[in-house]
Amino acid sequence: MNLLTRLRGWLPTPHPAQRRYGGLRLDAHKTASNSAAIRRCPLPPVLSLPIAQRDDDGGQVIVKLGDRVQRNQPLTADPAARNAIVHAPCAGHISGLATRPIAGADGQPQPCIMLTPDSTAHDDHHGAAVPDGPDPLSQSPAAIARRIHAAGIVGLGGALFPTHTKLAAAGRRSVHTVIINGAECEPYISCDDRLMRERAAAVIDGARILIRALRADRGLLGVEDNKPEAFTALRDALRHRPCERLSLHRLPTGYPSGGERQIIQRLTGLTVPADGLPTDIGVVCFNVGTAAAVHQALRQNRPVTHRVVTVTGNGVAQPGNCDVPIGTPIAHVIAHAGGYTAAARRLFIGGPMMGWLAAADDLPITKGTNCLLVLNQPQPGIPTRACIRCGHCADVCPIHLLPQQLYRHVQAGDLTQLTRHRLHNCIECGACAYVCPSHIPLIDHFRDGKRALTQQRQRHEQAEYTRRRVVARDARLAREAAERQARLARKKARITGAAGP
Amino acid sequence: MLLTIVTFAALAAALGLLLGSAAVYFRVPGDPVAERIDALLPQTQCGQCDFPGCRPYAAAIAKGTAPINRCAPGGEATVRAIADLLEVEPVALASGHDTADHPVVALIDEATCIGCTKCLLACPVDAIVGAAKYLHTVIASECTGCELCLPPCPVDCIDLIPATARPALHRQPPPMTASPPGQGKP
Repeated sequence: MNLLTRLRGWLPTPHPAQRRYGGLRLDAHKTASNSAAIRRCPLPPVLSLPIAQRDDDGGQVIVKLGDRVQRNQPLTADPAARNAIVHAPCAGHISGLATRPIAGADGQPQPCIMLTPDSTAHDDHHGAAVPDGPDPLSQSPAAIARRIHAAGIVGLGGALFPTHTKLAAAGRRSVHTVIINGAECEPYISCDDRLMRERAAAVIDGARILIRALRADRGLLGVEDNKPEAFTALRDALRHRPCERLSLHRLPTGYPSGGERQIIQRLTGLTVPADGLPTDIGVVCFNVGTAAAVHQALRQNRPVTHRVVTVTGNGVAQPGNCDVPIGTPIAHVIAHAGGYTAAARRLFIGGPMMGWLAAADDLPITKGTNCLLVLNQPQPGIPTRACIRCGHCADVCPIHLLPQQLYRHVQAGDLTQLTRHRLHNCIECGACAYVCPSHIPLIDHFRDGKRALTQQRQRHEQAEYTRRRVVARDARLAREAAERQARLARKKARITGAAGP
Repeated sequence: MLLTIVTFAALAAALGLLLGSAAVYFRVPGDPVAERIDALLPQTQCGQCDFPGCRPYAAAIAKGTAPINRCAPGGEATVRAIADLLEVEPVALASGHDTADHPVVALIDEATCIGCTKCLLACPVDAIVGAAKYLHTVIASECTGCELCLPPCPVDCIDLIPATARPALHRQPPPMTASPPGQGKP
């Protein structure tokens, strides 16, 4: 902690509710999908399970083509404990290993394991498993992290960061607060809402295990106040099994209040440093889905093989939430939700703000796919106009960036200015593009700018790598030349010595 | 008067000793400016600047004997970066030094290769493996696409292909039409 942050700690901090957060109030559009219970999605003919999650390189595949696998059997191994393990959602056989686009990773092709379910697997793939293993609340944090790793748990809010890595990184710092994020602020999405209503006890128990795994002093579970049923269910579950370290909090509804930095600020009043991580201020944040997955893995011995996906929008016949096996093609999930309506035109993976338009509907669901949104024909296109510098974007930016400046610099391709204006801190929440009166697709430009920054960094890394090789090569050539000189000199000395007197 | 002379003589001697010892003890080996310029160059080692590699070119710029606008693979961005570093006005890229937009790597047509080792000797980054009368091949992840292996090849069996081995290096087209987040306005 440097002097400046220490000085800031002595200043009176305004109450969290009095701060200016930016953000928006959006129409929720959640009632279409959150009124019915979570449905169970049947198995598709073939599952395509992505080996890697997001930034990691995936584990080693330990199954071969044609292998028979059991339900919940690990398909990859990861001795270094850096990645998330992939498990079979059902019994079946490995029918292929292929590189194909998935519902994630910007639609880039990713290596996948193809699993053809057995005909008998269709009935039991959702069923409860036998409780197994010791009570996690009496285990050491390291043992809990190992079991979480073995269950392939990643951040199910969409970040897909392996949870055991997060625990390990947080374990090296002192963590005082665990935040369980049940805000779910993006319109249309209701998978966390239904999960909290139906599996409140699992969420609470998972939160308790995570608090234990980090030896934290307290856990704060934040739920937006537009989900009263979820709040009540969690409160009842917490009353049923009290935990003095865990407390439940209502958050004012607003977008993006469920962003990691935003919810930390609202619940604790602490601000995560711009280029830092929540652990820098002693906070770790998990999604409610992750907490429920921790409960399932450690109490019921079930790894992450399914996730709740919201299928909604006016382009779907029966909007709702489905418990979907990972690797199921989008089209299969939508068919289970009654299929498309005649007017359906656009399919978003993720919500309307942070999701992206899918190129095809045969992409498999990943552990991070929280929503499939099908919308009708868009309104007649409103043309993009020039920026009038109204500054609304800067008002709503939840992390206090200057979107109009960033926009100018992206257009100019000025990477130095983009770094100076902290484009890399943009969370792509889309609030600026939403309020823009000129309808500039700001987030598209920002993603483009971020890509350019990434490429610049990679070019520099590659150049540095080559530079080191060239230096090594030059040294080798010089050494070889010197050795050759020495050899020739020796030979000459021998010849002259032999020919001499 | 004498006191002044003695004082200043002592001061001069002390400071001279200080500077002299600093020059010995805090000496930076090599030329730090050349190294910083070298760090800005793309390390293609292509020789299009008429120097035998990036480092000699950087050294020449640092000495002031070469203009800053000769690096074709680096393009305008590199010229700007060097100009920023040296605090001079950026100049346009020298003519005949057009920059290729897409990263490329060399690929040896293995059916045609006769195993003459001429490309091996030409490669400035040791990206080609092979031996006399044995098939040669290019390690795509090491190749900088400098094209120096093309002229020596007696059977003309080397092609330049887009560098798919490093997909992250590809600049994707701006997704102006593809993905409108925040445009699915509810």
